[in-house]
Amino acid sequence: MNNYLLIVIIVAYLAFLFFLAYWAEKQKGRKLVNNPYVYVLSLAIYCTAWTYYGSVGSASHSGISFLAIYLGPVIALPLWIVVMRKIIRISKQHKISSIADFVSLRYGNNRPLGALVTLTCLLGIIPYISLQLKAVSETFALVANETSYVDMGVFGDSTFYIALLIAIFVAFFGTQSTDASKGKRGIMATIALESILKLVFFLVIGIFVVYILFDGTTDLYQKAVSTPNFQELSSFGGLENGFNWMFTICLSFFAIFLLPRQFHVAVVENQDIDHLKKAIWLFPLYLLLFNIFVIFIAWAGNLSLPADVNNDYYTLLLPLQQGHTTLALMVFMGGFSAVISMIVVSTLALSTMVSNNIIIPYGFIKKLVEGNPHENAKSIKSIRRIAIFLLIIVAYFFYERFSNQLSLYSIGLVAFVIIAQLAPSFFLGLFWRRGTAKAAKAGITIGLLIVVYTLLVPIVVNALSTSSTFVEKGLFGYEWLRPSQLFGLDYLTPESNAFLWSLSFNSLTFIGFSLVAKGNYRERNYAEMFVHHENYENLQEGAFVWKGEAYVDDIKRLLNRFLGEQRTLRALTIFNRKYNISEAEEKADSRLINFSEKLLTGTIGSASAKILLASVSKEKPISLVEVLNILEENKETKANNKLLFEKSKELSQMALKLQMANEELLQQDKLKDEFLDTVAHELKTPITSIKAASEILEDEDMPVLLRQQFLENISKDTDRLAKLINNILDLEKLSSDRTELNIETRSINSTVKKAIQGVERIAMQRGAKVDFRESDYLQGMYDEDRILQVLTNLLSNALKFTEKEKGIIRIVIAEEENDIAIAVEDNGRGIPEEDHNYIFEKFYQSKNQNTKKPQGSGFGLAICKRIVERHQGSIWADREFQKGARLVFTLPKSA
Amino acid sequence: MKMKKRHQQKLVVLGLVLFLLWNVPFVSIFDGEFQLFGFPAFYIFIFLSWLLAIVIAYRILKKFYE
Repeated sequence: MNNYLLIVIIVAYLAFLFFLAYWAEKQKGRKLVNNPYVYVLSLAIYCTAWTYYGSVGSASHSGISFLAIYLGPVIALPLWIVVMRKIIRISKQHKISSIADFVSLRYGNNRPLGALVTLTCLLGIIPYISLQLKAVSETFALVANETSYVDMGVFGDSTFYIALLIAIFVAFFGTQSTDASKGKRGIMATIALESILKLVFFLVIGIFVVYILFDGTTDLYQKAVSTPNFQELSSFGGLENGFNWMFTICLSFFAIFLLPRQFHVAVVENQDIDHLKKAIWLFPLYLLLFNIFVIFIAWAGNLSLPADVNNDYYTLLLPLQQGHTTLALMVFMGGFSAVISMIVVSTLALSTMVSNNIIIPYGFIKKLVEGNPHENAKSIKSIRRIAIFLLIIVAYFFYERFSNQLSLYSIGLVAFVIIAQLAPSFFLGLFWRRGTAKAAKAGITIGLLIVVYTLLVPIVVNALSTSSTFVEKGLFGYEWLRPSQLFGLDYLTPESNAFLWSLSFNSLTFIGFSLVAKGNYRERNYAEMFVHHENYENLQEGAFVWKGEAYVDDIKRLLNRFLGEQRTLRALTIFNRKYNISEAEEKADSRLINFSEKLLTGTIGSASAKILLASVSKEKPISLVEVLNILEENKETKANNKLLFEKSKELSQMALKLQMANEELLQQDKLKDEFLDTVAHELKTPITSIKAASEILEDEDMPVLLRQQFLENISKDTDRLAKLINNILDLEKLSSDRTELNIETRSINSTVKKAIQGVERIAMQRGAKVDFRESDYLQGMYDEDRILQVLTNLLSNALKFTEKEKGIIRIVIAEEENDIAIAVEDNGRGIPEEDHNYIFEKFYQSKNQNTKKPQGSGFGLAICKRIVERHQGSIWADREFQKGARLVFTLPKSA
Repeated sequence: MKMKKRHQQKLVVLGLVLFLLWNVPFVSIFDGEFQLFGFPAFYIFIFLSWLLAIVIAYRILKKFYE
């Protein structure tokens, strides 16, 4: 393919990425750029050119080992639900912007430790970036023309310009805000797109190789079986290889947490902690897809390409060999995407670390204190931009000088080994309170020294191709000091060897130092905040212990310099409101100190923030015991406040309930009084008339006919009395469950008909129509006499409340799952809203009866309710029914 | 959204099981001549357990992350 055409395509692609980033930056907060899928895809920067090209190379000459690089993350991802959640929560609370910030903050905001972590990352990642540039340059040469790469110096090398363009991209979109802990949505959108492209193109080339160049996977396998070292490539190997395998898995497990770019996308760029829900299963799926075809491409390359080509580029060479230039171009663009996304995020993360953990705290802090907010923002951004360019340029020259001697796979692993040195202080720091800053520094230093001795020195010596006796024979001629076979262990790969010894000594040193000497109170304070994060999260600023003297005005002035007046004022107003502090307060307390530290951390790093605040306050040292006591106290106060609040809520609820119960009692009491009145009245009327009649009967001259009449009256009135008293007794018996019900299976239709017959005469007198449509044959379990009593009562109520000559009464039966529902409707006045709650109470009589004297005894519905309840049914008045009253009750169906 | 500690621990156990499963001695059980659709036994084992882990993690998260 034409050289210039390829350059045009690359530039067009980069221009497109610029445009995309610019557009996404404007969409901030929208679903399109802020969703779990973008988060998962941004995690996929784990797959760099090393994955894209190096895996195939590794699979083609050393077999399974490439796979271990992806198994570590797959093991790690399920653990994220605990570990990453914790890391993200802590980081968001403290506005952490890089792994160096995280580690240094954990150990009491320790400035040298932050710098050490940054240096470790630089040592590991710069060669790693070089590796990516090397991949671009070599693949460019392969796709552009098939003659080998010609060295035309730095300025004739297109890789140099590509590196420069990437630097401009990062410098532009990575430093929009001075607060480095803020998300960079533009960059993340491009990363997500690139992650899709690299996966799709890799799958396309996989399918091409397996199904077009060969006849499917089985065919490829059968052809590859005959190649000389196939057995070695497709199997696990011996027990000794098992150790290399395990160490590589451990390395990649650590890398998914600790690589600066992974920390950046997983923690700093996390917009919502719930995105983890998708990431935990989707990211392993992404990795799985990326690995499915690797072995087949590797075998295909071994089968059809000459032995002297670079195995890493089988994915490009296979289509090129067949003359498929477009396909090769696609593969190239996929690899190019992998490279750009890795370089972009790595330089972004590293530049923040370099500026916030080395340049500002060790040099610029004094200058910044004197500047105004505008100038400060500008210089902070400039520092980061210069760092970005420097990083990329250094990486470029490293590539120029060294990378010819090394394969993609080995530089990548070296970076992993170096980064793994952070593991003891990082992971133990998260779960173990005793770890101290001194121990962390010592551990990392020892680990790094061992890595340099066992891994880097031999590589440099080999690269310079000077033969050295100490690499082959060991330091001072001692065999057991040979760098890549330390202590005589000769079956480990150089990387595994370095990993084993460096990490063992690193961890031992860290733990040993931590146990020998206690950390100071500040370290312990942060240790508590990190390790028992869930306890202190609610305390927020209250979890920071500080004693001393500081003035609000001084702090305000300091914040003004970095945040500007407006933002400072807003932040302090929010702070005062949150803790209920008066605006006029002059002295600052520990909460304000911690709050300001956090505000500054995103902009200038935690170490510098601490130095600045120390400069405007006089801190009194306190003892470790005191710190722990205060923390405990704060926690208790918070818990007590919460408890008190809950108790008072409970109390007020109880008071409300009591009030309601009281009202009910009063109502019942009133009802009872009214009832007694009624009963007395009811009893008095017949008694008076009996008395009158019997007095008249004393007159012996009375005609027989008249006497007969009076005797009849007396008899009627006694009947009425008896009925009244019966009702009272009946209700009493029903209430106290003393009556036996005669429950049998009966037809509901016939019971209803009997009830209608009973009221037929009264209905005729009132000119009312009773309408009953028989339902399907339904049988219920009930005591017929009692249910007749209920129906008769409901029907006579309905008759009572309808107007003469216009009344229509309807009985409806409906079948439900376990019950039969019987409804009695009328077209009378209906039940007034305020009566609904009381009509089934005993003693109740509506106030709105149209007759002056209450009709009935006031027991009817109460008795009905008892009867229905004794049948395990329920009775109620339908509030929805508008045209009159509808009373419904249910009875159990027969089994 | 939250997930109970007990259910979080299921995912932690999944991670531990994967680590044991993919290391010696377990992994060497599947190191044989056998092949299926061109995948050597070792790869079948790794890829299948990988896929299974994804499905399990998905199920756990879907059910208990609320």
